Amino acid sequence: MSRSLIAAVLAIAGASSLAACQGQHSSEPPIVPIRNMHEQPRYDAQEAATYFTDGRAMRPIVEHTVAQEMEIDPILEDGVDENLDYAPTIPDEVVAGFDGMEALLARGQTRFDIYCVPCHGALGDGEGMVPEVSNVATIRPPTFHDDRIRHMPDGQLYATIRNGLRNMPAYGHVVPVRDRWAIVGYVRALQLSQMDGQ
Amino acid sequence: MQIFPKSLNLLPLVAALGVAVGGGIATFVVVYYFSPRFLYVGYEPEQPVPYSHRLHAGQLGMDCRYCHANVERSFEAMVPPTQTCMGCHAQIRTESARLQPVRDSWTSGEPVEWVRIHNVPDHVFFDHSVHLSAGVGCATCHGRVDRMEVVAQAEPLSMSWCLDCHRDPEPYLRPTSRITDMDWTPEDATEAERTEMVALLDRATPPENCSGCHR
Ligand code: HEC
Ligand code: HEC
Ligand code: HEC
Ligand code: HEC
Ligand code: HEC
Ligand code: HEC
Repeated sequence: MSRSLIAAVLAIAGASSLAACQGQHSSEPPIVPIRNMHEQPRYDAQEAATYFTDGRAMRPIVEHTVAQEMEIDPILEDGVDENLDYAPTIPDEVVAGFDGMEALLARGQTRFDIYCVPCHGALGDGEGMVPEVSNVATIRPPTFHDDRIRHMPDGQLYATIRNGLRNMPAYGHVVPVRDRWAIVGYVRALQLSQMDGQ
Repeated sequence: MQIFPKSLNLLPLVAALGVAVGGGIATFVVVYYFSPRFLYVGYEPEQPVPYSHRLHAGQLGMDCRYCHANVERSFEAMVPPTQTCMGCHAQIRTESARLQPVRDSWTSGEPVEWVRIHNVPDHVFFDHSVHLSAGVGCATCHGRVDRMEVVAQAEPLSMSWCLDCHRDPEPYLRPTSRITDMDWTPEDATEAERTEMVALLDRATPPENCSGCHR
C-alpha cells in the first residue's frame, strides 16, 4: 500500500514538474516568497508617486530654471552667437575636450549611428529604414550631399540636431551638448567622403 | 512484552523511506519552484501600448540607445518619454488606434503608464552605466530583445546570477562598441577587439563583497 502511495506521489511530482517548466511566459506579476525590504519607503526613477499631484516621482524641470549640467555659453549650447549668427565651425573647446579631432569623429560616428541612421541612412543619403518601412513621405529626409547642406555653417547643423527642423524631431533632450558637436563633425566627414566618390 | 504488533516491524523502514523521498520532493519543490529562475523569468505584463521591440529594434534596426538614451550615463536605463515616440509617430501611423495612448499622453502631458518588468529589490544597488562601460552587452542580461514582440524577462536577476558573472566575467565581456549589438558572439571579435577585451578584463573589478551590491 505505502509503495503505491509513494509511486503516486512521485508520479504527481514528475507530471507537475514537467507541466510547469522554468521560464514559462506569464503576464501575472511574479510571486515573491520573501519580501523583506523589497519595497523600501523611497521612490525609484520613473515610479508613480502619490506625494505629488501629477503622480510622478521624477520631477519635470521647473519653468524659468536651467538644469545644472546645461551650458550657459550660447555658442556651445545653441550653436549661435549673441547676434543669432550660426557658429561657423565646431568650437575649439569642444575639440580640445575630446583630445583632438580624431576622437571627436570616432565619437560622432557612434552617436550618428544611434540617432541619425534610422532616417538618414548610414551614408547620410536619406535612405534610412524608417522612411523605407513606413513609406511616409514627410519623414524622408534630404541627402546631406547637396551643396546647400555642404555649405551650411556648423552651427546650423548643430541647431538642427538640438531643436529639430519642421518634420525632423529635436534631439536636444537625448543627445548631450558635446555629442551633438561630435555628430556635426561626423556629418562633415561623411560629406567629404562622398565628394571624393563623385 | 509485545506492545506493537509484528506487522509494524516495517514501520521504521517505511518511515525512513518516506522522510527521504518526501524530503527529497520538498527540497526539489523549493529549489525548483521557489527560485528566481522559476518565479521571475518569463514575466511579460500587458503594456498600455502594444509596442514591439521586434519591429523597432529588429526590423528598423534602431539602436537601443535611441530610446533608452540614459543607459550609458546613469544607473537607470529608463523607458523613453512620449516625446521620443512622437518624433516619428507625429507623422507615422497617425491614425492607428494602437498608438492612441501615446497621442493622448502627448496632448495631455500625462506619461504613458508602462508596466515595469525587470526590477531588483530596493535593497540591491544596480548601475547600468558601469556595466556598459565595462563591456557587458544588453543581450547578456536581457536576452534577444530585438526578437521580442513583448518584452519578457529572460534572466533571473537573482543574487547567484549576478555573482556567477562577477566571479568570472571573462566569457561575458565584449568590446564597448558592441554593447547594443544583439547578434555579437565572441567568435566575431577582430584582433583589435580581442586586445580591447583583454584590457577590459584587466580593468574590471566587479564587487563580490556584500556592501558592493547592498549599499
Ligand atoms: C525621425 C527621422 C529623422 C532622424 C532620426 C533624424 N532626422 Fe534629420 N531630417 C529628418 C527629416 C524628415 C528632415 C527634413 C526636414 C524638413 O525639411 O522638413 C531632416 C533634415 C535634416 C537636415 C537638413 C536640414 C535643412 O536645413 O534642410 C540635417 C542637417 C539633418 N536632418 C541632420 C540630422 C542629424 C545630424 C540627425 C541625428 C542626430 C538626424 N538628422 C536625425 C528626419 C530625421
Ligand atoms: C523605439 C524605442 C525603443 C527602442 C529602439 C528600444 N526600446 Fe526597449 N523599451 C521601449 C519602451 C517604450 C519600453 C517599455 C514598454 C515595454 O516594456 O515594452 C521598453 C522596454 C524595454 C525593456 C524592459 C523594461 C522593464 O520594464 O523592465 C528592456 C529590457 C528593453 N526595453 C531593452 C531594450 C534593448 C536591449 C533595446 C535594443 C535592442 C531596446 N530596448 C530598444 C522603447 C525602445
Ligand atoms: C549586467 C546586466 C545588465 C545589462 C548589461 C543591461 N541591463 Fe538593463 N537591467 C538590468 C537589471 C538588473 C535591471 C533591473 C534594475 C533595477 O531594478 O533597478 C535592468 C533594467 C532595465 C530596464 C528597465 C528599468 C530601468 O532601469 O529603467 C531597461 C529599459 C533596461 N534595463 C534596458 C537595458 C538596455 C537598453 C541595456 C543595454 C544598453 C541594458 N539594459 C543592459 C541588467 C542589465
Ligand atoms: C525612428 C522612428 C520611430 C520611433 C522613434 C518610434 N517608432 Fe513606432 N513605428 C515606426 C515605424 C516605421 C513603424 C511601422 C509603421 C508601418 O508599419 O507602417 C512603427 C510602428 C509602431 C506601432 C504599430 C502601429 C500599428 O498601427 O500597427 C506601434 C504601436 C509603435 N510604433 C509604438 C511606438 C512607441 C510606443 C514608440 C516610443 C517608445 C515608438 N513607436 C517610437 C517608427 C518609430
Ligand atoms: C555578465 C556580467 C555581469 C552581471 C550579470 C552582473 N554584473 Fe555587476 N559588474 C560586472 C562587471 C564586469 C563589473 C565591473 C565594472 C568595473 O569594474 O568597471 C561590475 C560591477 C558591478 C558593481 C560595481 C559598480 C560600481 O559602482 O563600482 C555593482 C554594484 C554591480 N556590478 C552590481 C550587479 C548586480 C546587482 C547584478 C545583478 C542584478 C550584476 N551586477 C550583474 C559584470 C556583471
Ligand atoms: C553582485 C551583487 C551582490 C552581492 C555581492 C551580494 N548580493 Fe545579496 N542580493 C543581490 C541581489 C540581486 C539580490 C536579490 C535577489 C532576488 O531578487 O531574489 C540579493 C538578495 C539578498 C538577500 C535576500 C533578501 C531577501 O529578503 O530575499 C540576502 C539576505 C542577501 N542578498 C545577502 C547578501 C550577503 C550576506 C552578501 C555578502 C556575502 C551579499 N548579499 C552579496 C546581489 C548581491
